[in-house]
Amino acid sequence: MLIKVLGFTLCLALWLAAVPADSGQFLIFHKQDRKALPKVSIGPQTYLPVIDLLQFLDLPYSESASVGFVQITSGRNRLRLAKDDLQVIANDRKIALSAPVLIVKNQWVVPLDFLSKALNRTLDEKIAIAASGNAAVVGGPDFTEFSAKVADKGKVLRLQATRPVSAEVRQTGSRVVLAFGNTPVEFVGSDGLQTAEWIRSIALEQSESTNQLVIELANNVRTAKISHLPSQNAYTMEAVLQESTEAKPEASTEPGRPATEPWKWRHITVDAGHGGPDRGVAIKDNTFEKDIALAIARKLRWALETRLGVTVVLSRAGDQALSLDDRIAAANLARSNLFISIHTGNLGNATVADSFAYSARWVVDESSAAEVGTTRSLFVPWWQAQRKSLAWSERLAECVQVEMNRALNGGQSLAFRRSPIKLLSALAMPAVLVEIGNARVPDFQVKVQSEAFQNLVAATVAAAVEKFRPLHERP
Amino acid sequence: MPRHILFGLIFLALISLVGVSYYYDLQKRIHELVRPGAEPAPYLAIPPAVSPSAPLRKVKLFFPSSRPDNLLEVEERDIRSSELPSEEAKQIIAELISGSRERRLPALPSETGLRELFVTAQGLAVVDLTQEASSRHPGGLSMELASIYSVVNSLTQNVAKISRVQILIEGAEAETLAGHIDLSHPFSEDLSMTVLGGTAKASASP
Repeated sequence: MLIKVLGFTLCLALWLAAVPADSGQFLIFHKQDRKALPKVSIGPQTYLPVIDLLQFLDLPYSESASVGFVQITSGRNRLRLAKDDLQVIANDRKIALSAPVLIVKNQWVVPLDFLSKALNRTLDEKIAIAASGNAAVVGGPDFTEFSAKVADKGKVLRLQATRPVSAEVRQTGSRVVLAFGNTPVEFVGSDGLQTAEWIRSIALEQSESTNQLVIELANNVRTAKISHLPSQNAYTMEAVLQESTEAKPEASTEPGRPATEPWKWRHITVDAGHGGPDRGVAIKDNTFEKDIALAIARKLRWALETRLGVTVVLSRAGDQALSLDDRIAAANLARSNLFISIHTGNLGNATVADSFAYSARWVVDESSAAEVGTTRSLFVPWWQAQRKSLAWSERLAECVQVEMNRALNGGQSLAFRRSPIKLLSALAMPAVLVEIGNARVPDFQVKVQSEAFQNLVAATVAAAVEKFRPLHERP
Repeated sequence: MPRHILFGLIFLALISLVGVSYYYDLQKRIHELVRPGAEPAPYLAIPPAVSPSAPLRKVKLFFPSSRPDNLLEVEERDIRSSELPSEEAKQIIAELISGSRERRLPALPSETGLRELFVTAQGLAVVDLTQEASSRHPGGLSMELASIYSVVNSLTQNVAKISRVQILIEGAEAETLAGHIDLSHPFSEDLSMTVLGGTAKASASP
């Protein structure tokens, strides 16, 4: 019995260790840009999604999940990764990593030391990794390290940098912010902070949108005098205390910050319709809906990532068969904040080529399902998961339709459509299906294959999503 | 050559000839057993049990319009009346598959066959189509929706006992007909597609 219990516990521990967990972000600085990659913890190891990294660094690559390889090209250098392999091959030389390359949730992931051990030797640019293990700089200047020291009997805080640096200093209530723009900085530690009661904390906040050192002051601090000493690469800060040492109640609220953190998008799924033997509508010669949908989906992915700075994942990256249930499961499991499916139309008439946005609709059991959308119902059948997001989906479809009317439908005022679409009905997030043009129209058959038109479609949908975002992010 | 060797060789040649022909014959027979010859599928696998002398009645069939708005349009046909709703329904589906006579678009691909059709006591018509309904479908969300409601509306409008329609493909519940519309649940009549008025009707609340 004891052995069984021990065995079960061991299995459970091993299983828990093997379940990938989202554990914060890894920030990459490159040229004048930065990108946050989600870190994935598997057991004791921390992994990074390598395809997102390569796309951000603009490195050409080819990959095949079924064959199990990724090949990265940088100038004359080649780096080859194999699935479940501890070694990567850089120009015929084997380099051992601390953990094998894996595919987790359809994503290629590599251990953190892939950057310093393998990619560093392939790229012409130097890679510097922060001591915290949360950020790296590719090609640019090395990290500027900041340390904090309290001097003058606890009255003065000195922030010392290792190299010349300039920051934009802001003070809001009891919060002092040194914003560094795109300069990679690192906070290495503080000394004597306990002697300065007027400082509550010092922390580095880094994400795609922020790169700042935040000093939280105690409530009894009226203001802080901040000086920049460029010749010494340092900032100093001195507190001006309130006359009464008692903290005023209103000082505890921080006017610069909302009471609750706003809810942010972090993941969007773009779905290219059909795929594999399911070719969709025949457009012309050997071109089918599945090819056009994939080409537009790829462009939309870039457009959304560029405009919104949110991770965008394609439900299928190549010409593979993918069931509707697989597409639904992937988006629901990834807890996508948004789902957009790209299709081309076939209106059976060779004169009009209007584009439409579709939201979900149910054709049966309306009475029993009516309660699902209300807050009273706790459980939603999985095939009706969309019901709780339907109002948002319709607003999104409206945004997309308005933009398409302007850019693709010649300024007509067409309404978006509701349809009992299998794919949309089980998605647990705002979801739309976009049907572009009409494959029966000869002009459209030519136009839809052009890069310019595909870019226009991607930009149109991305513009609609950009307009929808502020509506949805503050529910 | 000695005579007995000559006879022996001729005998061996005959044996091998018989053996080879037997082998090919056997192979052919196995082939026929394993894969029965494909016959062209008729619209109706089981013809409707109606008397050829039964009185004719007019029915309204729904075909996708060839006009830009791609709605459904009504076309009249005659079928033999029957006391059994399923027998009338079978004739309606056969007429739909045979296509429009007024240059409207096909409701279903012309290669489609009806494998079975039955009507339950609760008014649910189960329409079992051959896989051509899906594999030969031209695709596109609007065309798919038009195909489905051509079948659904044509049955619910003309056969009083049918209120809902479940479409099966090759005897099983299919995910979709052409990749979009959910076929896993029965459909009720939706005449909004036949009402004129452009796209506004399509976005009317469900």
